[in-house]
Amino acid sequence: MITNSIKKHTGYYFSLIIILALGIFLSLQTSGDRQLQMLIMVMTVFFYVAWGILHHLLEHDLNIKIVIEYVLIGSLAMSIVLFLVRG
Amino acid sequence: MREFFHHLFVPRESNNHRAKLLSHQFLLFIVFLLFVGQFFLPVIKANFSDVLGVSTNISPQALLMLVNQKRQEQKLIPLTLDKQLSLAAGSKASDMFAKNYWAHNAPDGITPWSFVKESEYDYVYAGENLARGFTKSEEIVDAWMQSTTHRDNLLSQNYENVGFYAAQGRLLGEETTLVVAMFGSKNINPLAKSSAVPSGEVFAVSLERKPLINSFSFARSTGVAILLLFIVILVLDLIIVTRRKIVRLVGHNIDHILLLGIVLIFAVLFSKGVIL
Repeated sequence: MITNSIKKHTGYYFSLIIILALGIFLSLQTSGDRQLQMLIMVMTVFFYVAWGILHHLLEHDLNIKIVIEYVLIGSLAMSIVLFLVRG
Repeated sequence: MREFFHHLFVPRESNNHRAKLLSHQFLLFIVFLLFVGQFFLPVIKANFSDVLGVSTNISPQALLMLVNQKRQEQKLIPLTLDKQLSLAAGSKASDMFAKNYWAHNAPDGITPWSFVKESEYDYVYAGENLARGFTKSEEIVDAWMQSTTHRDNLLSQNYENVGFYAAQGRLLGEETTLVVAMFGSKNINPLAKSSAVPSGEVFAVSLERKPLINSFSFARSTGVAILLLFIVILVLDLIIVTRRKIVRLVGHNIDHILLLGIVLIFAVLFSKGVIL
């Protein structure tokens, strides 16, 4: 079922991995500029949420609960990043 | 007790087939705690620095020893600690804190060489390395060695003296440790009195602080622990839901695991240290 889901949405998962990998690569490359690094992490999480919602919109199964779930997981990721930077 | 943990971690009827720790309410609660925590951390650091703060151990002697070790490996003459260059480094650090900038040249155009001249070090060659956010002398020298331009200063045959200054203060909105290194070689003048520091004499300022809890280690450990907890719960949830063939509206675990995995990599590799 897991592999079936991945096979069914190969393009989505592939593009998601590219977005996330690019985000982490750029954020680590810009460690000398904290503001730019944070901006890249915020953009990465934003794209993650937007890409997830867009994917479900295209699949015609978008629901408010799905939107909330993506926003909450994105918020969790961002709050951990900010907690780390402020620590 | 077992039932309670199952309710928290395992998708089942009692939690509507979604681990309770993945419920919207619990996620919102954790996000709220983290956001509140990130505002309170700097307040606690500022008011109770003995309890929660940045643990630092940076000394000019250690920096000098490490730099000279690197020079020795390249068969170069060792640098000597110089009083005037240390003063110049101190003036530069004070200027950076006062004018709140992170650059070799100040916003008002003052260059690093102005501080060297002010310290009355009559130089032929001079160079400057900056570092902030590091907690150990070793980390600073390692970071400088990994950067071509900074390594060039460390291993330049043109320099004979060095001055270090380490200070803690608020720069660009964050409490940080700033280290300035001024490299130089003097204009040979037989009448000029040498300012090289005699062995054992200390001119530069050390920075050694050991609070009860290192704030950065605390933040990193907390972040990593939360990420690992959620990744484990999401993986567990994914396996159980797949095996039991439960159909749910929510639960895009693969996506979430990927995102949290990336944030985990960031948390592990993130360093507060920056060089210039």
